[in-house]
Amino acid sequence: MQCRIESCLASLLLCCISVIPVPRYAAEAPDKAGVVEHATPDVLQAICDDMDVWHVTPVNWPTVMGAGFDKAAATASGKAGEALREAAADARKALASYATPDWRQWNISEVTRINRTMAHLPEGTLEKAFADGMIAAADPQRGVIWPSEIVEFKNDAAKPADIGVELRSVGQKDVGVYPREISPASDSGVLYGETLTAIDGQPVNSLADGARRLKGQPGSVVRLTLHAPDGKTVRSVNIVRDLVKTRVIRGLDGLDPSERFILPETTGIAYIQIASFTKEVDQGLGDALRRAALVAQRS
Amino acid sequence: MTASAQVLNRFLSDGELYHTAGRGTPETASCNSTAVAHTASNDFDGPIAILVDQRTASGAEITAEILRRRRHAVLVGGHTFGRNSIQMLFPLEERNVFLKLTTSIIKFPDGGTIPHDGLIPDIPVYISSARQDEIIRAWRSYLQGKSRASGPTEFDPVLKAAIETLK
Repeated sequence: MQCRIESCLASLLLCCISVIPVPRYAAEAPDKAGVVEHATPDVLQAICDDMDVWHVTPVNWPTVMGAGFDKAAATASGKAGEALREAAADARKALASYATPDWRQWNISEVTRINRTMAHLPEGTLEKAFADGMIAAADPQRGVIWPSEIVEFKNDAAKPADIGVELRSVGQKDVGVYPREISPASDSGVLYGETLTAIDGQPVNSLADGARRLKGQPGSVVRLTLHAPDGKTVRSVNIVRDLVKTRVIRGLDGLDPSERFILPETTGIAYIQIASFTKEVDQGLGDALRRAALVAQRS
Repeated sequence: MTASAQVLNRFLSDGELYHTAGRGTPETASCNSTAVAHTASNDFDGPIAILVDQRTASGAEITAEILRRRRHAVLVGGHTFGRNSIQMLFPLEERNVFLKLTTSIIKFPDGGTIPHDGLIPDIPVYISSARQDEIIRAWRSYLQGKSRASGPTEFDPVLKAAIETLK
């Protein structure tokens, strides 16, 4: 029997969550010290001057450029690191009055040209660290995908398992971990909003770095070093990777295919969680609404 | 963003939904578009409450805000993430390097957009990280059939507040 949904359901609760993208394409910092002689502050500033910036205003230009120097300094050691940290401080002071043109006057082809040049730089150079730092500070949603990451993406099919978490940037440097309700991470006691500082004893350099290293073979073990949200408690957790199932539309039965949507102790209120706004959402939502209406009609 | 328009088409039958505004450069001309509702009849015309928090971002925020404006849906929970931009990947160096750039901004028909500090809920229910973790654990037990709770409103204050708005 067909029925219009509104005649059967009293009301609807939509839960719109979990759509913050784990930035699979986020820029990745080099994991080794760079070539200092090719990365003087003048060279870095030249890159900076030609780099496209979307959201950056005259006010936060010094912040963005300073972040580039900071990122480069973090990859360098000894006097080189000190020099770059001083450059970061100088940049923030000197650029305080720097004015950028309106973003509409910038042309993407300029960015393309500059980054074609940068793509030829050796892996692990300070120039790339500088670019990554600047881009991350300008807009966390953007980045450069270096050739080394393309290789990693191709390898993903060989590492189908993970621990069922979302990773997000927390502040300028930290990576927060957010387990799904039903996942190996949740089963192992990973808490919502803990900071992930290391995987298998090695520091986590970026979201992309963390997301990649959490993947592996089903049954393999990964060790997470976590800081509690209070920033004081540090602990390690061993988690067995598994093939984590996810659903775009969820009701009250987790991963059960015979999903329930009508909330108990209510008169026909449906609960539908949209866990991800992907191409599967349309049919899933339509099915959920129809099934909820049929149940409400019977009761 | 297509998924947002599809979701909205389940609840709205006509009218402009949102615009995507490009940067005004030739490379992003294709980013200018308008999503319009065009269904013969809605799937559901009754009252709607939407649970939101920091995990509600981008397409989910657009969906929630349009349903609030057009269907008087009530937003319950915490501030949303605050993301109003769309990114595109530009291949460089024969597809071995990509640059990911923000190419357009989402705007409502009245010219407004999602604020950078997120949408403000109509019924604010703010919970600490520690409490959030307890709620997620309770949901996990419930979804696995291991909970003694008669319903999720026993352990989820946001859900409880949302149901109150619908009574």
